[in-house]
This record gives sequence, C-alpha cells and structure tokens, in this order.
Amino acid sequence: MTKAAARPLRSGWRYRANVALRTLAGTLGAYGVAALAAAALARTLPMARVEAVTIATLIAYLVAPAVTIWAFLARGPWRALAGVALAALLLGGIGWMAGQPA
Amino acid sequence: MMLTIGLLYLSLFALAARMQRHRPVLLATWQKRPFVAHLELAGWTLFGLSLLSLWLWQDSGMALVAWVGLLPLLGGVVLLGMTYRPAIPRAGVPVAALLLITGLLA
Amino acid sequence: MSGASTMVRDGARQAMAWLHGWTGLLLGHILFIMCLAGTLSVFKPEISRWMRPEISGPADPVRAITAATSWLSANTTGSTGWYLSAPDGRSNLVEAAYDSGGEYFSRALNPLTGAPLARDSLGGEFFYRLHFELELPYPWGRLLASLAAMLMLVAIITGIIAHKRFFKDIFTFRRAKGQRSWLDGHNALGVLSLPFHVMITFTGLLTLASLNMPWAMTAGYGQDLMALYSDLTPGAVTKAATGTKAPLAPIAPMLAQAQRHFAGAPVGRVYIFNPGDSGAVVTIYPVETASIGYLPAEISFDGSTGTVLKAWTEQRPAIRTYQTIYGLHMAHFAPLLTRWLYFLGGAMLTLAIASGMVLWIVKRRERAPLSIGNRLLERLNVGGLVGVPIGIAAFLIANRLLPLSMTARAEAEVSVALWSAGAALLLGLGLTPKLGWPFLLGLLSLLCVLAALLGPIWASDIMLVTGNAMLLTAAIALGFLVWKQLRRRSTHTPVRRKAVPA
Repeated sequence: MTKAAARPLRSGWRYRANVALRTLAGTLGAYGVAALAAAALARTLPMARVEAVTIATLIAYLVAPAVTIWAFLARGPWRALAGVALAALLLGGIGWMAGQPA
Repeated sequence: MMLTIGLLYLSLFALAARMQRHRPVLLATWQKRPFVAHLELAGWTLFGLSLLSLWLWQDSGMALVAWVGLLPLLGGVVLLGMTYRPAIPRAGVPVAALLLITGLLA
Repeated sequence: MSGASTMVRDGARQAMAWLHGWTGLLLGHILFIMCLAGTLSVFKPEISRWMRPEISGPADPVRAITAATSWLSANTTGSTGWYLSAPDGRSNLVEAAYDSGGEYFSRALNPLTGAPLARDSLGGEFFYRLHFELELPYPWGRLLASLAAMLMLVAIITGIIAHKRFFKDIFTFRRAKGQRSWLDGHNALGVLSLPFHVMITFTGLLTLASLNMPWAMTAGYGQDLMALYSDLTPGAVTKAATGTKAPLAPIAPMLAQAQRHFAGAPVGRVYIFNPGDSGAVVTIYPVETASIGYLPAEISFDGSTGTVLKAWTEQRPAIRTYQTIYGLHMAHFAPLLTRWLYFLGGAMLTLAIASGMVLWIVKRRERAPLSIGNRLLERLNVGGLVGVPIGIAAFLIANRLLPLSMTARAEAEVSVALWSAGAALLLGLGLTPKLGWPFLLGLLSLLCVLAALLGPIWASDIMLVTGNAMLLTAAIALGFLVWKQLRRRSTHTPVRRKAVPA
C-alpha cells in the first residue's frame, strides 16, 4: 500500500466523488429508504390500520439516521449507494406487493 | 431526585478527573493517591447507577426527562468551574456526596 | 486489510466533517431562529403573562370559560367555531381563536368579563409559531422547519462521528485560545447536552410527521384523509349546522361533567362548533399538564341541550406512544424544574449552532485570509445571530410602547420585530465584523434593559419580576461580552496558529 493511498486527500476528484456519493446516499437515500420503510410497515404490521400507520411513521424516523450512519461507514461510496438502492428496492417491493389495506 | 443528582455529579467529576489534563486542577493535592487509577471505572459505574436510580422516582418517564436535563447542568458546572473557578467543582463533591447519602436515607 | 479499513473510516470521517460543516452553513440561520424561538416557547404562557401585565393573579378556569362564552355569544355573529384555552396554573386568561362575520380573530379574553384585552398581543404565541412556521405561509414554513430539523439530525450524527475523541473532549475547554476555544465550546455545548439535542430533534420532526413523513399514511389510506382522521380521533363528533338558531346551554355543568370524565384533571381546551345554532357541539379536552401524553381524552356535548354526545379516552398503545413523544417535545407536562432544564437544553443547542457558525469563520480566518464568500458569511453571522435576538427584544418593547387603541396592534408588534431584525441584518452586512459585533451586541444589551425597565418592573406578579430579571441578566451578560471584545482588541491581536482540522 502506498503512502498516498493510506492518507486520504482532502481534495482531488476521488475525494470529492466519495463525499458527494456518500452525501447523496446518506441524505436523499436515507429519506427515501425511510419513506419506503414507512409505507411497507404501514401495510404489513399486524394491527389496526391507523395504529400500523402510526407505528410505521415512528419507525421511519429511526430508519433514516441508521441509513445515514451506514452510508458513511460503508466500505466504499459505491457500496453505500448500492446498499441504499437495494434496501429501497426491497422495501418498495414489500410495500407494493402488500397492497393498500382495506 | 437527590440520589440521582449526587450520583450523576460524582460520576461526571470522576470522568473529568480521570483526564491527565484536568487532574491537577480537580484533585489538587490528591492526584497521587492510588484511587486515581480507578477513576474511569468509578465514573462510568456511577453514571450507570445514576441511570438506574431513575427507577426509584415516582414517575420514571419524568425522571428520565429530568436526567437528560441534569446532564448538561451538572456537566456545565464541572466544565466551567474547572476553567474559571476550580474551587466550585471541588466543593461540589462533598455536596453531591451529602445529597447522595440523604437520598439513600430518604 | 485493517489498513484499508481505517483508510475508509478516515475518509468517512472527513466526509462527515465536511457534511457537518455544510449542513450547518446552509441551514444554520434557520436552525438558530428555530432553536431560539423554541427555547423561549418553553415559557410561552409566562411570556404571555409578561406581555399582558394588566391581568395578574390566578384565574378560575370554569368562571373564565363561562365569561368567555357569554361575551362571545353576545359579540359574534355567524361563527363556525370558538377555540378556547382555559387558564391553568401558568396562564391566567382565556386564549381564544374565533370567527365572526367571516373574519378570524385570535384574542386573549379577560378571565372576569370575557372581553378581549385592550393590549392586543400575540404574547408567547409569537415565539411558538415562529419556532415551526418561521413567519412563512402554510405549508412552506413548516416544510422548511422540517427540512432544517432533518439536516439537524444529519448534523448531529455527522458531528458525533467526525468528533475524534468524543468522550475525552467533553470536559475540555481551553479559554482564550481562538479557534481552540471555539471548537472546545462548540463540542462541549453539543456533547454535554447530546441526549437532549437528539430527543428534541427527533420529537420535533415527529410533531410535523403529517408533512415530512406522510408516506405511511399514504400507503395505508391513499387519498382517503377523512378515514384517517376519523380513525385517529374516534372521539370526535361532527355535526353540520342546521340553520336554526338556539342559544348555548349553560357551560358550567358541561365543564363539571368533563372534569369527572377526566378523572379529576382540570379542563384545558374548550372547542365550540357552530355556536348559536341548534347543531352546536361543545368538545372539551383536559389540561396537558397531567401526563406526558398529549390529549389523552375528550368529551363532546350537544351545545343546545348540554347532553353528552360522546366521551372518549385514548387507550390504543400505538397512538399513546405517538402522543407521549409529541408531549415530550411540547413539555406541557413538565414541572417547573424540568421546564428550566428544557430551557437550558434549548439554550445550549442554540449556542451550539451559533458557535458552530462562528467556528466556520474562525477556522478559515486562522488558516488564510478569508475569501469573498466567507467574508460575506462572517457579516451574515453578525447580522443574523445578533439580529434575531434584537428583533425579539424590539417585539417586547413594541408590546410596551405601541398605543393600546391601535388597530391590528398584535400584527404591528410582529412587524416591529421583523423590521428591527431586518435592519440589524443590514447593519451587520454594512459594518466590518470588528465593529459590527460589539455594536450590535451592545445595542441588544441596551434593548433588553429598555424592555425590562418599560414594564412595571417591581410588579407583584412573580412572572413579571422573573421576566424582567431574565432580561437584565441577559443585558449584563451581553454587556460583559462587549466589554471583553473591546478590551481584547485594544491589548493584542490573536496569534495566527497552525490550523487543526475539526
């Protein structure tokens, strides 16, 4: 491992891209995953509709910061983005398949 | 309430005194005593105990809210006192101990 | 392998530090306004009392509500609703929102006569609304507040992770060392009170959940918001107006029965829908001081006969959880000591934001001469961080000085606040920061003294005395700050030291 690689630079396009991608994943991505988690949970939690909606909303606020932290601690920026996209797809799929409760 | 305040203050004091930088200011002539080595453990133990003591309050939800507020208040006393008037945080130790004992007896 | 992982972590730390700085930079001023106004809102009823000094002493809630309804019956026409808040231990009059002849009013009603007070003022409600609506039209203010709160959450998380020695630095404050001191102060303010900051940001976001996280609602209910509303509040009674006139039944028996339904808790809010119509409905809620949970019960009466239509106590665990979290933010439940601790936590958060914004400049100034953009930010800091409190002080002074006979007096008070803050912002932009800081801080100090001296300073009401004492304390602290700034300037200029990344 070279010295330059061991010491991350505060400038240069690699650093900028790293920060930009992680920021994207950790802000907009985190909100998106939280929103989809809220939707999926609201449709799948085994309780009265209004209670499921309430609890799902509460949990969504815990999901968002968890995703933010993960986006910054993930191995690399692309992994961070891919992880967020995967979580979003999964949760979106669950919500979509469950359908709107009557 | 008194018990929680006593425990939390002593815990914060111990955690601050654990640090090399603050030891001379906070412990003055006591800084060479053997207990100094255990301050970190003591501090975190007291910290945990102060949280546990919340169960003893009438309404532990209310107690937790108060604890969240007491943390900056007591921490602020230690921090600002240390910087500007070290006698104040030092004098707080016997006061906190007294509160702790009163709280235990009550 | 482990080397690669620490490299990533270090990169992440830098990214976090970068994001922490930029979220603070972009929304710092908005967050500063929100936190300052929110901190003051902890004492909303007390501020209202300070701003309405004519009414002193405690008021009886039943008598006050009875007086209010009889005055409203005689003085409004064609109302669709009267929304009344009964006096409790903290507030001592009836706060009313009502419409009459197609016009909407928000007035404080005298607890004995029921008539609006001559000193028309928003009181503490101004700070409460400013806290989450930012004086912007619905829903933009609330959306901006939500966005700011979300980025605040990001700033808190990134702040913790970017902080190298999280637990070690809690107790470190190295004074008079330029950037070091600002960084230590910012860290101490943020870390010591971290549980409070996290709690208040989370619960605050939740209070605006229907705007900032509506996706669970959409997923569960689609567009059917009426179904959502009726599921959320099964105790609610909706009755259309019949068009037939009918006087309101005596309200005191309804209040007594409501109090029995609330297991002895006093009545808090009284809503009267379609008053004067035979389809009138009276809905009564208990005071919020009884428990952390918000709105645990309600009871509705037929307004023309006084018979109970529906009585309801919230027991569903999910809704109770939400109400508890909501209540945790509002702090209506809090006894006096806890309220002061909320005030302390809020003040520390406000100062953490302000010190962070100053730190942005100090850090860059000690490294190299400031760029044009940063020089502008520096001046914005002066104008914004001091201008907002100047607006607040001007609001308090306007409350004392504006003539009582003035029309739209409450709105005029708000205008004075906004124009003063705007003027201070311009001054901050116009003056060099070296001059701007002490000048505006000194001005703020004088305004605080003026606000305290204009009122009945030794009034018998303990809340007025406390308010004046707080204003004078703030004035003295600010004066001390100005004195230190001026003295430091005359003795030495700060040493330029090697920059240390945050």
